[in-house]
Amino acid sequence: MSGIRIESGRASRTVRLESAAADVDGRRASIAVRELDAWTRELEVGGVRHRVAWAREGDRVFVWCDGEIFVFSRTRPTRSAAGADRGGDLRAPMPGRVRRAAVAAGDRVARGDVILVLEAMKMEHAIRAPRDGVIRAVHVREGDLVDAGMELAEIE
Amino acid sequence: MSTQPPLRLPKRLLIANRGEIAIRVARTAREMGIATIGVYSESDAGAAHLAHVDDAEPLGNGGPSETYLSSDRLIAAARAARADAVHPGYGFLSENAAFARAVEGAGLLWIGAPPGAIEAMGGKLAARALMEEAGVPVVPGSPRGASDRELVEEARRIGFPVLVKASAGGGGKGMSRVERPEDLPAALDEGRRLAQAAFSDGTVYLERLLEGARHVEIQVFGDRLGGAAHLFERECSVQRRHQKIVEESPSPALDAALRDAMGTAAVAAARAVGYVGAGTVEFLLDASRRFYFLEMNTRLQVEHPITEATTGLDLVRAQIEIASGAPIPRAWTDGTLSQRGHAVELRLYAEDPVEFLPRSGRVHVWREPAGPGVRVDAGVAAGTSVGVEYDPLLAKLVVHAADRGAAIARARRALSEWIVLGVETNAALLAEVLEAPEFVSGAYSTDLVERIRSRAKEPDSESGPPDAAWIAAALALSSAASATSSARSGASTVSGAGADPWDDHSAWRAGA
Repeated sequence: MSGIRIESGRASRTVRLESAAADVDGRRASIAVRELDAWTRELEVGGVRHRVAWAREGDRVFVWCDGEIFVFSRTRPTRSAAGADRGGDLRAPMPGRVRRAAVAAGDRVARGDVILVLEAMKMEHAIRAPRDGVIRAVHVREGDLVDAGMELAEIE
Repeated sequence: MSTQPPLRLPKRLLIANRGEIAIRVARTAREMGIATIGVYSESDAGAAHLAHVDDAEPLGNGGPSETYLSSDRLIAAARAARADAVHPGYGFLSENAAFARAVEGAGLLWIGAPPGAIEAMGGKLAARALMEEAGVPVVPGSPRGASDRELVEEARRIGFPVLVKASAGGGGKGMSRVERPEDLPAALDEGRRLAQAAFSDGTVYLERLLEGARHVEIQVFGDRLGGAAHLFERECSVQRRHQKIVEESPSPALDAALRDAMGTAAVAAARAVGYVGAGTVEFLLDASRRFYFLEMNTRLQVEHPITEATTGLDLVRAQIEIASGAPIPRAWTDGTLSQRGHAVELRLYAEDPVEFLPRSGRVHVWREPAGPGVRVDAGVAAGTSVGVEYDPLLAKLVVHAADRGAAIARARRALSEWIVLGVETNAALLAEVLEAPEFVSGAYSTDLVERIRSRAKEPDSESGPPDAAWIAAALALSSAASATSSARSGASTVSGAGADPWDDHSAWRAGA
C-alpha cells in the first residue's frame, strides 16, 4: 500500500498502513486498534497503548491522542507554480466580515499597503499587499461574509 | 435570606442571551421553580441553549444587532411569552441602560444593574472621575475633554508606553499600546475610528501602561436597601489580546490585608454609584502591590463560577433574589463567609492556536471532562455549528480542589479528558499555561501568554505530534476507515438541535 503524506503545522510525515502494522517515515511498528467507548479507541503502537479519537472533514482530520488534540491534513500535490509562486492572490486568513475595502480594481499598491480590513468577533485584521503591483480584481464588498481561505482580491 | 418575609420571585424569566450563559441562567431558574424562556435568532434555531429552556421565542432574521441586540424585539418576545422578568446574561445588552429602562418600562423585573449605575460606569472617563471622588485609586491617565495637543502633553507627563483606550470600550476593543510620541496621533485616530464603529462613541483617553501588573477583580453585590458586600477576588492575569483565558481564585498575589483593602475599595466603588445586583470591580495590581481601579463591569462575569466554587454560593440565584428585593445575607458582611479551597477556570475558544483568530466549523465530537471537582459550562454540543457572528467562547471548564496545587493538577487532568473535534480551539495554549513555571509558582502577570509564546519559537520545528497521532490520522484518511473514531455512527450526544451530526453535510462520509 502506498503511503499517505500528512501534515500538521510545520511538521509532515509519510504514513504507510498495513493490516497490522504502520510505517511513519521509515519507523515501522505493529499496530492494533480496539474500541473503547462511543468516541475513543485504544491504538497500540509497537506494544505501547494510546487512547485516540478522531473526526475527519474531507482532507482534514482532528485527532485526540492521550489528552492532546492535533489537526492534520492530507498533503495534496502543490498547485501549478503559476498560482502558488506569484503570491498574487489574497485569501482570507479567517472567517469574518469585510469591514473596509481600501482599494479598487486598477489601483496601484505597494508591498504592505492595506487592501482590505476584515472583522471577526472583537477584532479587525488588515489584509496587506504581499508585494508591489496593480489590483486586478476585488472579489468582495464591504459587509460581505467570507470564509477562511476565500480569495478576496488579486494583484498582478 | 430565610428570616425575611417571603420574596415575590418572578414566575416566567426571559433569558436575553445565547450560548453557555443562557444555559447557566436557565439551570438556576429551573432550580428555583421559575419557568424559563429562551430567545434565538433564525441562524440559532438549533442552538444548544434552546434545549435548556421551557419555551423559546424567535427574534427573527438578521445579525446580532437585529436580534440579540434589539431591545424592541426582546421586549416583544418577553410580552409574547408573558414573561415577568428579564436576565441579560453578559455581553449583548447586559450593560445597556436604555434596554434596562425599556425592560422596567414594560413592567418587567430587570435582573441587572440599575440603569443609572450602568451609565455611571459605562463611560470609562466619567467612572474614573467618580472613583477618584470616592477615594478609590485610579491608574494615572488623561482627564476628560483633552484635545489632541493636550493628550500628547499628557502622554509625556504619564510616560511612554501609554495605552489609548475607548471611553465606551470593553474587552480590549479600540485599545492600543503606544511606544513613541510620534506614533500617538495615528493611534488616537485609529482608536477613535474603532471606538466610533464599535460603541458609537469615539471618545478616547490615555492611561499609563503598568508593566508587569496583574489583573485582579473583586465580585461585589449591592441590594435595594442600600447594602453592599464583596465576595472576594478573582485573578484574571492570563490574557491574550486583552481577553482573559484562565482565571483563578484566590489570587496567589493577595494576602488577607491586601484582600481586605481591595474588597473595601470595591465596595466603596459600588456604593458610589448606588449599585444593586452583581457587579465586578476590576483592578490593576502593580509589582509593588499598589492597586488601581480599572473599570466596573455592571453584570455577571464570564468567570463568576470560580467565585461560586470557592464560596459555595449560586450567584445567579443571588441576582434573582436581590432583584426581587432580598437584602444581602448577613453572612456576606459579618465575616462568616470565607473562601474555601482553590478554583481555576479555563476558557475554551474556537480560535486558531497561532494568531488567536476566531475559527468556525462544526463540532463533530464533543466529550466533556467529568469527575470530582469538575464543572463544565458549555454553549455547544456534538453537532453544533460554530459561526463567526457570535463570541467564539465554546465552554468554560471550572475545577475546584482543596489547594492551589491540587486545583492545577485537576485542571490538567480534566483538560486532557476534553475531546473536541471539528473546530480548532485554544486547548493546547491552555495546557501550556497550566505547565508554565510562572503559572505554577503563581508569580505571573498579564504578559504570561506572550512569554509562553516567545519560548515556543525556540525549539526545533521538527517535533510535532507523536507517531500514534500520525497513525490515527492515517487511519482516518484511509478509505477503509470511518469518518470518526466512533464505531456506532448513531451514538450522538446532541442535546439541543435534534439533528444527527452524521446524516448531513456532504463533506462528511460516515463509515459503517
